[in-house]
Amino acid sequence: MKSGDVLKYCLDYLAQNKVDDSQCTITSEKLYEISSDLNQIALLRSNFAESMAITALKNSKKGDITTNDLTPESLPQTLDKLISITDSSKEDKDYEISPDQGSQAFSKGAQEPDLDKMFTSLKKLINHINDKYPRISIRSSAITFKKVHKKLLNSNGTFLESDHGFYGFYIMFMAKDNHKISSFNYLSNYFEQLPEDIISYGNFQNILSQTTKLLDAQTVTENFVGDIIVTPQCLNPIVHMFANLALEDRAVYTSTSMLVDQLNKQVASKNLTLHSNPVSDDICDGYFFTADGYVAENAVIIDKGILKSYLLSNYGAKKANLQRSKNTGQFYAIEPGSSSLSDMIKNVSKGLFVARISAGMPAANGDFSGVAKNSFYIENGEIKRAVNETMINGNIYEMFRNITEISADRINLGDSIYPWIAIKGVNISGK
Amino acid sequence: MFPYDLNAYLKDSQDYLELRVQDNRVQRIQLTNGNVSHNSFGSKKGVSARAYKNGAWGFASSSVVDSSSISQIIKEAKFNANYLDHKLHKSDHGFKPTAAQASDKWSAQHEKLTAKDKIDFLKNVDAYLIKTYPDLKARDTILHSLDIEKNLVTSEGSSSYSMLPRATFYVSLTIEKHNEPYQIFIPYYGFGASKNRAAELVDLQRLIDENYLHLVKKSEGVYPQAGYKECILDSKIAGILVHEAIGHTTEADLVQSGSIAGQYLNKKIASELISVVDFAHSTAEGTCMVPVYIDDEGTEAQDTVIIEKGILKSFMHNKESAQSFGVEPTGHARAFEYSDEPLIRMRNTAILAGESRLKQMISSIEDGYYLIQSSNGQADSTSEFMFGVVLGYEIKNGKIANGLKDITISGVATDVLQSVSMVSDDMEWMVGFCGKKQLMTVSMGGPAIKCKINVGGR
Repeated sequence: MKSGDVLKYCLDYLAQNKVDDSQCTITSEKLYEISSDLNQIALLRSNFAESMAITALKNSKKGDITTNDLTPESLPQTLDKLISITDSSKEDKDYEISPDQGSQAFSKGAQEPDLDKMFTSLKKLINHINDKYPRISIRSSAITFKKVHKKLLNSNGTFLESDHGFYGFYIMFMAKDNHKISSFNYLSNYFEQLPEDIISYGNFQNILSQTTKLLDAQTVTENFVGDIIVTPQCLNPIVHMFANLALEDRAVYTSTSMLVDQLNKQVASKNLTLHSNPVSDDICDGYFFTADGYVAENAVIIDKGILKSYLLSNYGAKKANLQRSKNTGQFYAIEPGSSSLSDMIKNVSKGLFVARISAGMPAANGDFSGVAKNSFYIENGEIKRAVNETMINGNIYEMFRNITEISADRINLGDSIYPWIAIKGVNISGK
Repeated sequence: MFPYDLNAYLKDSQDYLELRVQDNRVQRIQLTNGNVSHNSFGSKKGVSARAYKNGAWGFASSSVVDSSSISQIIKEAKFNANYLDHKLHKSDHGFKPTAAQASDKWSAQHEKLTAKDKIDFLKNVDAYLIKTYPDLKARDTILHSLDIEKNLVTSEGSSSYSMLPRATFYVSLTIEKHNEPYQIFIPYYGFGASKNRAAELVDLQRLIDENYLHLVKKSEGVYPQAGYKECILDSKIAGILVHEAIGHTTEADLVQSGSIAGQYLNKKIASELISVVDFAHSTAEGTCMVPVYIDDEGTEAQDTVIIEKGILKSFMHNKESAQSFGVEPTGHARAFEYSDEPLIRMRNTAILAGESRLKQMISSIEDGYYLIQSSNGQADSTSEFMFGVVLGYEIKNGKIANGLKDITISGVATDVLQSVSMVSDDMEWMVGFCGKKQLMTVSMGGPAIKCKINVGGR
């Protein structure tokens, strides 16, 4: 059966078995990867996967099943299991299938991988690092090409189709000089078309230089409250933590988010404007429709510090008695400020330049602490030295309110676009 | 059991080749404030092959599993290896062959519960929460099960079949104090291992009661003073410490890239009270939570003594790293899904128990902390680590005092383990997922240890 026929078969089968509403999505994914072990290219991978996710609503009960066995003989068994899972559930009037949005198709990016170019680019990058940064030790690196094709059909008549191809790059490395070693660092970037010279993207060369300086890292010898400057790569996990803690379904509808009832109110510094842009031309990764079957749109989440939108699915919105969001998050972009990075550093009397934080999820009240990795001590507006065994401690809600400056320059990581930001009032403690 | 004679597909292989058919089946049911927020079942099944040619690896996988796709995947893996070989001209000689056979003798025989049985159990737990703790702001009850079934053959003559079921029950409680939420997350391992559901419910209720009291103490708690402090790390945290900070740095691939452990082989890196073993499948107490008899390169899995009485004794290897280090492979090559290649991964890593009593350890501290439960952990090439601590208490004059709010602890593992002055005589195991390019199921265990550690505070 062709994928379109499988979708129709599943919806018909479920309807005939007294399922009220249903949604079915088939995802075909091809992944190619050329990767290195240490600084030697070692593996070529080609993965093909086809999977189907089906949702059934019956008597206000809901069940979900995923399978990658799409053979005609296995489908009735899979669908019967879904019906059994659904029957066993509990009624909830807030379950819904998305309304009829007609037929829509989307596509972007490359269609097929250029394996020779992937090999050449990775080899060139490894050679460049070996030549120019002899104290950098590569643990692993990879260039990938991913092609994702999705078809979604639901019982209300919505048919959505997307086709999306993009390249990715990943490297994990450290600096090493005899018995001195640095912390690990990681870099990744996504590209619509694979560039010839990956090293010129993502501020990579500066980060490699900074990593070699970590060989002489020392701990901060005191505890103080200071300012931190957070790099674009370091911002990514912080923004995701904030979204999960404060803006996504469970946090909002259980009222455990500290930003409940804060729509259109000041929740962050006036310097901050945060977007979630899954369909932006500026971001090569992304998604065209949400898992619950709605066409995705870009959204302003925080506008000059004012909370404009949560990140709610249809179910989360109904539970919270709010509007469904234009998308369900990720692919964030922070608007640039007006400062230069060098001026931002000059404005710090005492603090840290933080390129990575080793930390877990903040506590429910936003309390947050972690180890500053790949980071540098700043005093009187100058970067003085690399640090290790140094912790930062604060509250993530307060940190968003305490943003003092945002750089004019930004880094496009392919799945997000971030500037450097300065945050005041962070507890910094050494050994 | 998969209906394929995989060995038949390897007959014409001149070079090293692995072939694996695998199905990861996941079920998740979650009640959030009494509503079913997740009710899903998923199967991820497929076939993969990995071929070796003069130092180049080719890997291919497909979610279609039939005779034709198995042949096609082998062809593609060989093509990928040849493609790289032609580009790289490495002419490496490979590695020492291993051949081991094992079948499903070890699979835990968990009771088969219907979806209704499971949801009813969650509803019972939720009803208990509503009745017993009406002040909860949010409550979640979650059942997560993962069954991994795999069939592996290699061109060197290894073959194995395994089916490893695993189910964990989680409860999350959130209360509010001074308009701020405080949360605790309670794992209950081995759900379904017993056929006595009523006994499991009683056991879980006891665990919830204990943890609710901890949560109240946490909400009324204090921030610790930042800095180096004498602490008791309870067994759950000691297990994560050894996994993150010692385990990862002694994986041979990380040693090759320069992790600190490479400098310390056969040297003292910890107190004599500390011995660390990565168990393959069994301890003296029985089968481990993540038993590995044959790894995904077809090597028989061996226990690996990492630290013996404070001395770093050995690293964890796959075939290639063992060849490079001139030692025998230890059976640490593991792949999480059918579409993943094997990487060097831990299995069941633990600090061995000592001789002290926990009570005696706490009473030996004048001013310090008793840290009980961690949210997560990360470690570095330098063996510097951090853990989020979500449950802990002050120790004042040898007695438990105020509860602690969520904190982070950090340190350099070799320094912290050198500072260990007491090790408790009991140990506890926990199971979790470890991330290193792919996810992986691992277990970790340990006794409580007394040590000096950097506590993040205000």
